[in-house]
Amino acid sequence: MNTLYRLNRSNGNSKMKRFFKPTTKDTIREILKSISRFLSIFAIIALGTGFFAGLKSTYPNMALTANTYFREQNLMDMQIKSTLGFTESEIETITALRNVQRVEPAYTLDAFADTGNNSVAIMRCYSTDFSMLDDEESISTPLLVEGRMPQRKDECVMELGVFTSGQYDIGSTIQLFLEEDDIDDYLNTTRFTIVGIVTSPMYISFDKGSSTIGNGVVNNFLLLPIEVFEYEVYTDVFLTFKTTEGISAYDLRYDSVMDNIKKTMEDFAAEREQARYDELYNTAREELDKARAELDDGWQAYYQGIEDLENGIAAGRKTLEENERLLKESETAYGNGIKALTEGWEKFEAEKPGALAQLQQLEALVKAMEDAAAYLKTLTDEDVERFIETLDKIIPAIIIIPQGVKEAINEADIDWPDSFIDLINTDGPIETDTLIEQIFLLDQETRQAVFELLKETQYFGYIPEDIQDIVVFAGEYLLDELKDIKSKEELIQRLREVLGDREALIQNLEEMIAQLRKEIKSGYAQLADAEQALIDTEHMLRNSRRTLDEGWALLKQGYIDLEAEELSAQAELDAALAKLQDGEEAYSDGLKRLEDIPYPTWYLFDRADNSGYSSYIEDAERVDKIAIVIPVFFILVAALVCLTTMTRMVEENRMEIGTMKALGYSNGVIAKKYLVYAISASLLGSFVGLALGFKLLPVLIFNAYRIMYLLPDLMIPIRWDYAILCTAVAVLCTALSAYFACRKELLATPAALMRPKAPKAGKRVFLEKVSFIWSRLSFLHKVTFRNLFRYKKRVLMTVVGVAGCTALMYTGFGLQHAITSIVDKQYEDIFIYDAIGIYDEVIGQDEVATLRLQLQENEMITDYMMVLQKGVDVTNEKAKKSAYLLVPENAQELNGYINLQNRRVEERLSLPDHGCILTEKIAKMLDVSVGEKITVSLSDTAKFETEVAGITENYTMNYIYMSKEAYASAYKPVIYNSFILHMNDPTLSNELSTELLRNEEILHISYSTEGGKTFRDVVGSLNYIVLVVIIAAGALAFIVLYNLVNINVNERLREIATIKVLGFYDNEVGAYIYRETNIASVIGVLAGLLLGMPFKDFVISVAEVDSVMFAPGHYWLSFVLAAVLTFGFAIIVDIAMHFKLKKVDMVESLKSVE
Amino acid sequence: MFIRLENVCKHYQMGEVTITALDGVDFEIQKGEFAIIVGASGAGKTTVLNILGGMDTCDSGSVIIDGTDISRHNTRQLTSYRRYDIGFVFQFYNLMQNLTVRENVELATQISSDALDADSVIAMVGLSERIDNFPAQLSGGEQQRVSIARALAKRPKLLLCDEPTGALDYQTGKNILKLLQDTCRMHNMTVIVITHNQAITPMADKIITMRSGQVYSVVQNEHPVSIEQIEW
Repeated sequence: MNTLYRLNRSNGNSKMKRFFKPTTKDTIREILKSISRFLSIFAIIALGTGFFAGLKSTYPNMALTANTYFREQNLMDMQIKSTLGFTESEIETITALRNVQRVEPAYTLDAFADTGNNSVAIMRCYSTDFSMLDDEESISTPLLVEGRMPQRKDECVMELGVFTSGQYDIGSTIQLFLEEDDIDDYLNTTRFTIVGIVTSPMYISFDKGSSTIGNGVVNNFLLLPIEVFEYEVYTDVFLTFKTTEGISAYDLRYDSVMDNIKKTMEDFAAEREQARYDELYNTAREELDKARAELDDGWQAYYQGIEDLENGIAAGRKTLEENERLLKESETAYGNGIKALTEGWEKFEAEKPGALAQLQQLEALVKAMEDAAAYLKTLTDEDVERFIETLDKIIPAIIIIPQGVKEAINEADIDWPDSFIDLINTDGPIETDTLIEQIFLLDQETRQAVFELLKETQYFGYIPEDIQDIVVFAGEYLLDELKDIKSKEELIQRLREVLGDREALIQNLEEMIAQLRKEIKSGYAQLADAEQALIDTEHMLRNSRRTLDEGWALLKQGYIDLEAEELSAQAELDAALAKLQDGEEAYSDGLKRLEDIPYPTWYLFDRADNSGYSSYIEDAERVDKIAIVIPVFFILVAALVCLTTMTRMVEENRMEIGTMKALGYSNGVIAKKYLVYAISASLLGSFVGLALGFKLLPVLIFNAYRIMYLLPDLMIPIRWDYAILCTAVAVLCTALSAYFACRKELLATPAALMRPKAPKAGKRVFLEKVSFIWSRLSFLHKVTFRNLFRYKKRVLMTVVGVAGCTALMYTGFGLQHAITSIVDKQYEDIFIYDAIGIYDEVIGQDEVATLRLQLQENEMITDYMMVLQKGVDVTNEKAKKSAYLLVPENAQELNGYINLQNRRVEERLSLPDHGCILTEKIAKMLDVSVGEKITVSLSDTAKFETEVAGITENYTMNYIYMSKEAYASAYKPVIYNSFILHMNDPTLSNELSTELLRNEEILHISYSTEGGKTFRDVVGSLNYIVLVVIIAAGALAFIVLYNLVNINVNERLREIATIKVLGFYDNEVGAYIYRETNIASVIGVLAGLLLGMPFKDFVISVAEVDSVMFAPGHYWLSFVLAAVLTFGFAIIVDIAMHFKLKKVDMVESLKSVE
Repeated sequence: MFIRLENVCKHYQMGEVTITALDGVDFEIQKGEFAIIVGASGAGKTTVLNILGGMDTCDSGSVIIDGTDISRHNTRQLTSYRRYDIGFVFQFYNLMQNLTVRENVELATQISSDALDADSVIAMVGLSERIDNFPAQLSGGEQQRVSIARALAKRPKLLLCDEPTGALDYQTGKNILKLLQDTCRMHNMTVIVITHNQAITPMADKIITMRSGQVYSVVQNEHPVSIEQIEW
């Protein structure tokens, strides 16, 4: 009352007052009175339209979002790669094509970057001219998510990826490197600062394609400034076309336009390939001719060189030999000089004492003469007389020569004349005269010697002292004067004469002294001169020695130099020869290569070749397919709910309708109430449902898909077509229900309507004919069964609603199980290895041996096996899918690491020597069976064909297994790049990684437990969708059951009141009412489970993504959960209803039948 | 005394107005008596019936049935009281349309611990031939017989009848009252009939007349007459 009063007052203008006619007021009151009924119609309509609109708009919204993204970022129409790259002139040729809107040549490079933990990521680097990005026509413009675009050469932007997001962020630096090649050959800067995070319309999937380096899986991409690339030719060309402009990406028209363009471009490519080949051939030919000419010149120069060398060496040798001869001559001269000098010295030294003695003698003589002269001057005549007299006196006539004198004379080393010696040796006295005569017969010298001897003897003392001096003087100086003396008289005579003329003597003496002095002086001078001459000669010889030595040294050096010169010249010549020979070899190689010049191949890629481009829209289409089934079902249930609800409502208002009719209201006015009631509920429901459905569901689903795709936020425009369609269907549905519900009553007479409606007669049910069952049933069960058949419409609604709910839940749980159980199957039953390690495949034999030894000896590893693992594309005429190629070292032992078995026939598979084994999902996607052929592409240019020999159970990712024999025969001998292993204790993964990664060749270790965990996280996103399904199903079940029980209770209030009066306890009353719905629920659940199986299979078949095969088959727990949860909802409804039942007043039973 | 009401009061709150339905009702009924509570609409007889039948509680006073004061019973105790001690005959029979005659009786026997055999009770009310018919196939009188059979089948201590003839024609109503009177006499069943029809009071052992929520008079009829002898 109050509410209505307020309602009236708040709409206080006259028009509104008129609008609220009694019938309208009645309608509003009816709604407020039976708000739960109104809400149940509202809710089921909201649920139905919400689901339909939400699911149905997901696909167009996803397409719109992607398409807007592609259009705004101007996604390329075509990408061309050439095996030989593109020259500037080729780019110009492409640009000149009529249909081409824009051409962007680019460089690409796949390089490694560290991601910590000693593992590396493969980064695909694209050249980007960042100054051109503002250009509206810029192709495949990256979308900046965070940060800024590079401004310097050492800055780059990275894709918003999952793989490296932990390691790299804005501000961090990334060092690129290669293993096989030197990265500096490709890039002039290899260290970049990441300044921004971008997404690219080229890559809306996290799958970035395959690479020829590392494990072959590109993890992320980088955009590097174009100026850092050091390439001669462009590697890629991106194109947009004029005729595709304005056509939506996923529009069929786009495909047909592109088909035409592709045909044209293929022809163009063929033409350009030929042209490029011709150009290459001609250039090479020219170069070879030039090389030939250069080689010929080289040979000529070489032979000239040899000749020059020989001549030069000969001339040099001749000069040196001449010099040597001259030196040898000089050496001889020198030798003679030395000899002469030595002899000179010897002679000099030998003669020098003699000469000196002679000179000293002469000097002594001079002295003696001077003394004698001096003595003579002192002598007086008296002295002379005294002397002569003394002499005369002392010299006897006869003398005996004393024995001593005799001995002295005999012993003296003088060659005495025989007469003299005989005289001396005469015994006895001899005549003095004889002696004198004899003495004076002796030559001057001997006489001197005799005198000296005499002086030495004692006998000299016999000479009186005063004349001794004169005797000595005479003995010394006068012997010359005293010659040929034969007697004493003569002697004395002579002495007197001589001594008497002392003046003459002195003069004579002085003349002799002067003469002697002159002689002495000259003697000394001669001696000094002789020495000086020798010294001079010696000096001169020393100089010439030096000169000679220098000469020899020079000569030796000359020879060395000559030899060196010859050697170096020879070496030069040899080098020149080697070079020439190399040149010849290169030339002949060149000739050979000329024939081998590769014919360039152009590869044309369109958008569909972009990873994720096609799968994205396929995924969206899957949602769309599910979107058809679920909402149709919801609308069916909604219609049933409306129909029963409205029917009940009309029945309750039977009396009122009769009264109205009796008062004279037309059928239309009466029906209006019910139509307004139903339409307003469904309109409101539609609005709320559409509002929530459009906003929530597509975003929820899209966000689940965003785990696999990189796209901007979902665009959620209001889809008026769906909105109007939904609302129309909902309104029509409820309005028709309302109309049909009241039609019968409207046709009846007022009187009939005013009478209580005859209760619906009880009827026997077919079960009663089966008396052995019927008789065993308690009457309460009988009532239940009778009621079930009595209210068929309601039971049907319950069964359908509950069955739908159960089917949906089963689908939800089944889906969840199908997703989650594959993790265990994959990582515990199929991948029974514990870890896989990737190493650098280009390492040498020694390193491989070391690696094997390391694996062999590691105590944590029980066994291991080498494998080749490579990301590849697999194609046949039907499809192209990506997969991993795995070639084990030992095909027999592979089953110890990876279980190959056919799921359907549960048969172990072994790798054959020819052909490959495919995993189940990819075989299904390619629609191949055993015996058919597939093409495996390791890169755009390396591919081979092989036959499918078996199909093996597998759930995550797609694999192709080949034995090494099969691989070798299909392609080429295998080079391993990975190893798989078992561990003693799989929990020790950190320890094993630490140990193994010390070996720098090992790039990465991953563990199957980790793989399982990661995968679990990824598929976890699908749980959202499962949750949505379960919540929707629950909501559906709840609304249906509540509505039904509510109607049941309202309709049977009297019955309930009666049995209450009869003394039924509350729970018995409940059971009496619920039993029907519960049985209907059980039937519904069973039907739902049956229905759920194909429905789940259908949903799985459309929801599966390429890289995953959900576990097929049905799981008991999914049945149990779906059933239990549905019953759970039924119980919640029962509990809610319990309170309502309790409130049923027993006084109702006393009232008359309505 | 088998049934004794002492100073029973009952008020209903209708918005801001308090309506007094019973204002100190006192009466006693002996075991095996055939009592009629008579009064005009709004006199409070239906309230008395509700309280006696355990369908409502009084605000004050006591209601002692066979030595038990049910005015202090909680909901569950009242349900048990209805289940085991009370047989109720409705004006509009209140049969389950979905159940046959036998099944309707069984509805009562199923929940009662000491029930009579359904078939013999039905025979007792003279409907053996219609035992497998549905209520819609029966006349009003027959339906009321089923209703009585259903009430009797539980072997109640007290048979409460709310205007049992209200929806029936004269002769059929007489037959039903006869059935009730015979049941009372033959089975020594305490029967209380609520009616506005003063004419049938001579057949009762005790006539309790109610006016404005109070007992106007209690008349012990030493010589009740058979219903056949009453005309109205």
